[in-house]
Amino acid sequence: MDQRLFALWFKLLYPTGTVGSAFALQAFQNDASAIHKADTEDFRARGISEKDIKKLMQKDLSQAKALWDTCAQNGVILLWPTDAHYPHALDKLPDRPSLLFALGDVSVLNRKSVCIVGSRSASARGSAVAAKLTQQAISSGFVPVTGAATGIDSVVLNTAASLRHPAVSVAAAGLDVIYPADVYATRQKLCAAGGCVFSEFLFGLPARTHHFPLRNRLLPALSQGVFIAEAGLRSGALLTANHAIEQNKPLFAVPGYIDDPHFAGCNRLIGQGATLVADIAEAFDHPILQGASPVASTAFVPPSPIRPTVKKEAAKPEITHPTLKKIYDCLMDQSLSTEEIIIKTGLSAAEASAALVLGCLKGLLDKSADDRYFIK
Amino acid sequence: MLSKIHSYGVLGIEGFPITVEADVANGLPAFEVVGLPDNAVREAKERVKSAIRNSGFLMENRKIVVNLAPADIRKEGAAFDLPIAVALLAATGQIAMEQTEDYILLGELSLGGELKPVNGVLPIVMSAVNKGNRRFILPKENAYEASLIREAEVFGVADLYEAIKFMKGEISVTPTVTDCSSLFRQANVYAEDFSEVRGQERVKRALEIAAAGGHNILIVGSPGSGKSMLAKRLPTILPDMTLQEALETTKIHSVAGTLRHDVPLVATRPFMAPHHTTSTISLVGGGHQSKPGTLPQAHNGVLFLDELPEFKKDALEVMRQPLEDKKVTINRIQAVNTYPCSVQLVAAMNPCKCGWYGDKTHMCTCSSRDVQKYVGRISGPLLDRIDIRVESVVLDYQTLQQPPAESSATIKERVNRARQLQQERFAGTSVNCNAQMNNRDVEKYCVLGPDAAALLEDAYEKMDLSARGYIKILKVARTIADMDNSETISFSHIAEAISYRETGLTP
Repeated sequence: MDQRLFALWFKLLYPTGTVGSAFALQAFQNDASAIHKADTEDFRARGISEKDIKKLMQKDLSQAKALWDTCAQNGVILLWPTDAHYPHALDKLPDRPSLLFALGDVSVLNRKSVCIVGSRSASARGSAVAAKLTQQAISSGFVPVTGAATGIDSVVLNTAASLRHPAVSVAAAGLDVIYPADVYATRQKLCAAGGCVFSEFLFGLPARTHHFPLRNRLLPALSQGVFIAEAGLRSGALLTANHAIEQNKPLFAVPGYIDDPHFAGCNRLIGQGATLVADIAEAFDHPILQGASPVASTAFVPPSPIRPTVKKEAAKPEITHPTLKKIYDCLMDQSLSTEEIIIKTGLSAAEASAALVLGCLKGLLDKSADDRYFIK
Repeated sequence: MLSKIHSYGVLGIEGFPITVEADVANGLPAFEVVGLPDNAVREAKERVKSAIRNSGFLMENRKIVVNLAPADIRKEGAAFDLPIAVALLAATGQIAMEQTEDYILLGELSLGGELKPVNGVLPIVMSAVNKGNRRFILPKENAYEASLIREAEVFGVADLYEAIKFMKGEISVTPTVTDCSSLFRQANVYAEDFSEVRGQERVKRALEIAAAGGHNILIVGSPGSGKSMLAKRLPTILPDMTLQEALETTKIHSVAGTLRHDVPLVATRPFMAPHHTTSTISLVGGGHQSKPGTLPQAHNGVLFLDELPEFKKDALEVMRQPLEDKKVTINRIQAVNTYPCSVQLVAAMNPCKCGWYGDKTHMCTCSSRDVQKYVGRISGPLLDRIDIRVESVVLDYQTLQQPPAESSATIKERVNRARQLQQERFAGTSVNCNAQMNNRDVEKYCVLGPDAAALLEDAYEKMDLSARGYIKILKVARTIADMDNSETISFSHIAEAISYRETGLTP
């Protein structure tokens, strides 16, 4: 009989990873069929607790068979700790999940990754930051890892998908339960772009409040570091941050205005010692993410005198259109609305509107969701 | 004895002939009105009795039956008081039938016999003249309105006594004559002017294009950024109404009862701004006594919907068809009422629930989901009817100190020139302006220069435009080219037109 069937049997006994389940697996070298064959004496000999023995003595396989069929019908990939594609970053967790359910390309699960999470009710600013962070993470060679909710999670997944780059989404419910419903399209795009979504929860299990903290322990465990893109004081992203601290993973937070409730959680984390993300372009060059020992970085380093960093002067593009050139110069270090551009340049509304469209089409300028133009 | 008097009723905005018959016979004293009268008509008998008595005529206490024919159409309002009274007087021999035959009678009576103005006089006179009836006896206040139709001979009288004396030929009444051109001269006087709007150059430009091509427009901006102020000034730059347009609009206002008796012709383009709590019935029309609503009342003018997402969903949905067909059709058990409503829509909205999304000085407290939800309240099909989308911004102090801007009169001249071109282009078709072009017209009249075509192709791919968005850009570009007096659409015309596509709003 297939090893996977026994894996499913074991999973049904321990739907979420516990210390007991992890111990039992270790005692039997992750061999689920051996656990199924073992009797009470065997278990006692290997030092398994009486409570777990009582559980493990339920040898009925019928439920596991039914679940096996459902998974097969839905094309769900089962990942057992002995599998090559099982995310081995999770091995260090004391309550490591046993069986994982996955969709998409599971080979990305063992690639170098960073976690980017944040508020579900994201503000426009937070969404923009998350998109830029994702872009930067990808160009720095990381696979972005995030949850499966709306808000920042969706922004991360959508950004990666639009760049045709894989990302990992960790769901807090069975894979067939799309919660919230509007992330369905996001999940489709994620899988199409070579990403992967997985869950430790049984196929068919709806999202429950207590699933979210459980899921949140996997996010930092999978990644080299955790980035909080936006978090209010009551955001679930703060739970992920706590897990990161417990797991001794580097924690980064994007700062916000002191009076902006959308970023109050981030600011508090920074106050408590999280690393402040001061520059998105250099966010992922931090030595701690590049394999430096985390212990070294926590040692006291005397602050170096702040020197203004000389920005690499980007080659100024050659602009032949006179109106567009005027606007481009005016936008050098600020973003402006059309009305402000008209006032600053003295152009007519017709000229300015036309030139701005031209600038966007040529890829020189871009327009934010709130109708302000900036240099790309 | 039996008598017959001619009068008219209103269905929708058309008049239809009604014959008022009265029969006075011996029997138990009674007064019956038959022929589907509504409450106001049924109550006429009390007013008529008192009015006859108090005007010095004899009100006979016999069996009276009044019939309003045709009997299968519901009669509404108090306009039949006068014909009923005259029919009774004729039936009792107090005036000869032959003396009343030539006239169409209309008017409400007070108990003392004075005539009160009624609604719907203009459509009645227009229909009656078309049917060959030319002489009208009406309340004095309605005489101006009725005499807008030059073929009509209108006698405005003050009371029942005067009406009877006049028909008997005992006194003379001068027919009322209205000078339409003087009414037009008095029109188009506005309290607002574009010269008072400092800054907001882009919105002003967009409104000018909207006026020049008849495009519907949506203004998005934070509270206090001047959305309503700008919208209110749109009528000041629209071309003057033609007599035909003015008469059509006046007809609707006449039936709705919103016509001022001292200004009998709506020669200034109407600006209707229903509040966002409006009901569907008050918006399109209908109700117990079927009346045209705010939308048809804006016919040939501007309909301004401030706080667009706050409108009730069904109120917005009910406008979709009328905006497309340029008419409102209200089905009732008795009849189908159709009101024309060729309106230019100006909508205004905040960018989000709290209003400060994208503002420089205020912090927006909405999540991006809130913003999406707020914008999502407006259905796609309604947005499809809007060609131009423009954002207004809160101005800083320096801009407010600028000298007065261009006056409405200057802008209107440019608009008129662009409209002139369009009239020549669409002569002999049902299309009046660029906004009304169908896809075939767009193909025929929107000729692009080679670089303009390349730009549009580039934009189509990079900006994820839909086919509908593409047509809209072409229509707006056509108008911009017309304002430039250019036969072909150039590069900059297309570029500017693209800048008015509704970014961020279409899903």
